[in-house]
Amino acid sequence: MKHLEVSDLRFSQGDFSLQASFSLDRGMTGIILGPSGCGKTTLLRCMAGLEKPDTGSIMLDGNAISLLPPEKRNLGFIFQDLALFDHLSGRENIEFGLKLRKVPKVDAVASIESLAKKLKIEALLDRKPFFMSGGEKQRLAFARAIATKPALLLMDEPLSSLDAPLRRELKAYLRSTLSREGITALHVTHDVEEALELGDEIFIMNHGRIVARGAPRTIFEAPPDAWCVRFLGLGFLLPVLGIEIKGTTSIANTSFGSYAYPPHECKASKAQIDNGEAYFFVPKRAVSLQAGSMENMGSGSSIGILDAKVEDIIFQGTFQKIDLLPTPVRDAQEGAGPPTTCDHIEVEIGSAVAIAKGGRVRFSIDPAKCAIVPALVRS
Amino acid sequence: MKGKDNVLLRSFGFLAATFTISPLVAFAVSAFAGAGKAGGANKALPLLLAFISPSTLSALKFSLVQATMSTVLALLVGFPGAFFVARYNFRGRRFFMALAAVPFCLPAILVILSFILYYGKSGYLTLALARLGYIPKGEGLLYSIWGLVFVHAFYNFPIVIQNVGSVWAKMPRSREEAARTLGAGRLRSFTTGTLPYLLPSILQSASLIFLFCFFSFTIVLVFGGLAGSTLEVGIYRAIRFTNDRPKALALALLQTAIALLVVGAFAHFDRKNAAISKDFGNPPPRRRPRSFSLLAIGAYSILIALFFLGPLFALTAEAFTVRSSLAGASHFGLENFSRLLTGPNPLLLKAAGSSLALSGFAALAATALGFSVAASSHYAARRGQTMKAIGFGVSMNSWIIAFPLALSPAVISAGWSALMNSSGDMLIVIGQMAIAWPFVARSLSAAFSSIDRTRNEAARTLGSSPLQAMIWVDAALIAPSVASAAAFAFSITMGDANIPLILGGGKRETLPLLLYRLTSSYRFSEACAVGIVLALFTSIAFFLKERTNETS
Repeated sequence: MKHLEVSDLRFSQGDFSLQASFSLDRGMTGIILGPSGCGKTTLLRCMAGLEKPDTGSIMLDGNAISLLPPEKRNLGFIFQDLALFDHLSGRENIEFGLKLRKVPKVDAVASIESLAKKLKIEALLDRKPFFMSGGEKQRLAFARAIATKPALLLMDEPLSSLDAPLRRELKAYLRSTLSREGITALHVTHDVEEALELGDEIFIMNHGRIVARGAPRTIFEAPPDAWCVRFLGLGFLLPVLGIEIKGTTSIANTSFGSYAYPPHECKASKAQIDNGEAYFFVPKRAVSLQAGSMENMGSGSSIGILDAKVEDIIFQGTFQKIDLLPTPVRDAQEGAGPPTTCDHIEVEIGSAVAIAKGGRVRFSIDPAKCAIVPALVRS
Repeated sequence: MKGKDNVLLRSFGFLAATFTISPLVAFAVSAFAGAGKAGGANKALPLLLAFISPSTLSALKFSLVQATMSTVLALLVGFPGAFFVARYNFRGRRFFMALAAVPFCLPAILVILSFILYYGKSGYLTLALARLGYIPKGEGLLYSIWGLVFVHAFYNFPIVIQNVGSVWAKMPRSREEAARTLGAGRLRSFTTGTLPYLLPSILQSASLIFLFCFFSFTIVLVFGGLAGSTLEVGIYRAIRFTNDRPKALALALLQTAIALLVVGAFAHFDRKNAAISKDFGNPPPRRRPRSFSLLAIGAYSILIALFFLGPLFALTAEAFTVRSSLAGASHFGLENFSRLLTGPNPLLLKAAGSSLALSGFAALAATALGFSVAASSHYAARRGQTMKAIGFGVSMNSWIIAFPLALSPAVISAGWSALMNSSGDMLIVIGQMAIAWPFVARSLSAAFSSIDRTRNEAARTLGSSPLQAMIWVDAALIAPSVASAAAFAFSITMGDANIPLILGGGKRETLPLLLYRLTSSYRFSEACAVGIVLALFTSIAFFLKERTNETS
């Protein structure tokens, strides 16, 4: 049995409606990832009992909690603004939940001291939040939320207000503490990098629905639709102009040419392909790049190789992002048909590769790593 | 430039302080002068005796008790309203917020008249309750300390709705929700996650209401000796009827000392409130009330309509009720108005003209002084020059603005009268300006501090000189607030009865004075007609102020 099971949770308010079903194993960190306004926070608030869902059930550790008030659900919640009690000291903030659970004073003191030591916040115990830095407040909010040993820790974008170095530091802190303490957590964020670093399982939300779920690697290697590819920045998309089946080989016709692709990697229906609602998804890792124009190559070697102008180079430290404007091509297989145009594409290469802005490059696509995805998965 | 700002700040501070303190000193000097021809300690003796006289102590006790009780009741009545307007979106929400206008734009004399008509011995509610057998016939609900407290509370509770409600509406709910997820029930999460953040606004409202009730004059004066006498009424009687200046001075010093503590507390909580609300971020959405909350809002609205709006309806009804004799038949009509507007002595027309002229000048003068004080302290603070905190953590310039709130209008009037050694229109204008300018300075200080500094800086980076940026950006942004503060000053001065009563020397009749005179001679219907005209003037000015605030 899963530690957390949410079944058909529905909530509506005005034009917005939320519908979610998902589960999470004990000790895992689930990340709810999605753009602003997709319903991530509402989902978390419904789970905490701070919003009243219309229907649905929430099972936590074998207990049905959906009808319980927030104080009876045994949850920890870290709010976006942290919601520390400014009139109480760090110690009193942590003690708050323990007092309500009638933990004997001696045990509460011991528990706070031990937690403070583990989380390295001893110095904060006798200070009020006003006298703490952003990172210190963050640690205190975390300590307060886990002091009561909640069955589930809910975190609503707790790192969003921090600057980059502090955010990096706290991500590492959260990751190690959650794993060491074996805490089951749900973490809401719109930051893809944060989701990858902290999540054992990712739930991607769009328009109030969970549109994809799975381990970070699975989501990144097999995104369910074109919207996810764009949102996660996984590669580029070419509109599928048609599909041909030649024996056991499936071929997708695109504006960059025709590519044979693994048949099991077609996630779009025939209707979606016929209606122009399917894309040939080219992951970043499927593109290889070489400096120099196609004109410098001998004849016969150009099949599957495309020519492009380097519009921009963005240095990213260990790699560089290259903005390419591909040269319009005719159908590579048939050598016929009208020339097609295409938009800019972005590829990533190692920072040691020497490429000049304004120069020309050749690039090729490995179709074995590609897939056909629908424009949008509707659930 | 820095030096110039400093000089400017100090000179306006000095001007404001002089303006406030000089009548007080003049009054004290006149009190000593009137204490007999003997010199030295003998002159101070009447003052010392006045301090410990039983009537002083009893007035002090009565002032404190009635102000405390009135404040507590106003808080109790206003608090649910503050909760409803903060948390729910419902029909009438804006109306509840707009009720805050009442203590400022309806003069006390008008409110007392409406309460008499509703709760008095022949009041609408009293008669209705007597008919239902709940109270014996001919027994009013007002004529005791409870009546006084009741009137004060129902006059001032909208301040709680406005002040506490607006802070509550902006407050994030996350702390209360955090307490709930940590295991607290509704009450505990409220006392931990909301109350500590609401407390400064509650105490700020409480200190303001306490101050208003502590200085209560007209309400106590109308009730006469039935309920008891406050220090303010004692001062008035000592000046006007017994000409006992040492006694008036003793009462005034006692009153000012206590009021200063309350004003200090008010300024302190005001500052704390502003500091807390600064970090609130976007206000959380308000919900539509359902079942229980809808029922609660309905019950509260009925309570307010019955106890608070009832008297105002009674006033309006009485203004249009024409009686042939006290016990005779009556009909609805405009005769109460026409009687006062026509004939050889059109009282209403004359009083309205006097009120408009005197209040117009007083409001203009109060706006000029209030603006100068607020602007100079704002620009000095922008350059990093702030005056030191000297008590309650409140800076010197905030004290200068708040100090006049601790002074008795009766003492200000008598002080100016002693200073100018005359009575008349000029004195009324000065006296009314003296009571209105701190409100102007306070509201303009808030308006100045809400101006986004980057607008001015953007103008500078686009090529404006400091003066051009001040004129084209700051002045344009502050102009609506100045207009609104002027309207507020007009409302206050228009409704004030104290200053013309003491300084007018009986030569000039303003609308509140005419209302007072008609009420005293039991011409209630005509008094109500005057009241309607007065309420129209003051409320139009106040709503213009609110409208300007909203559009800016």
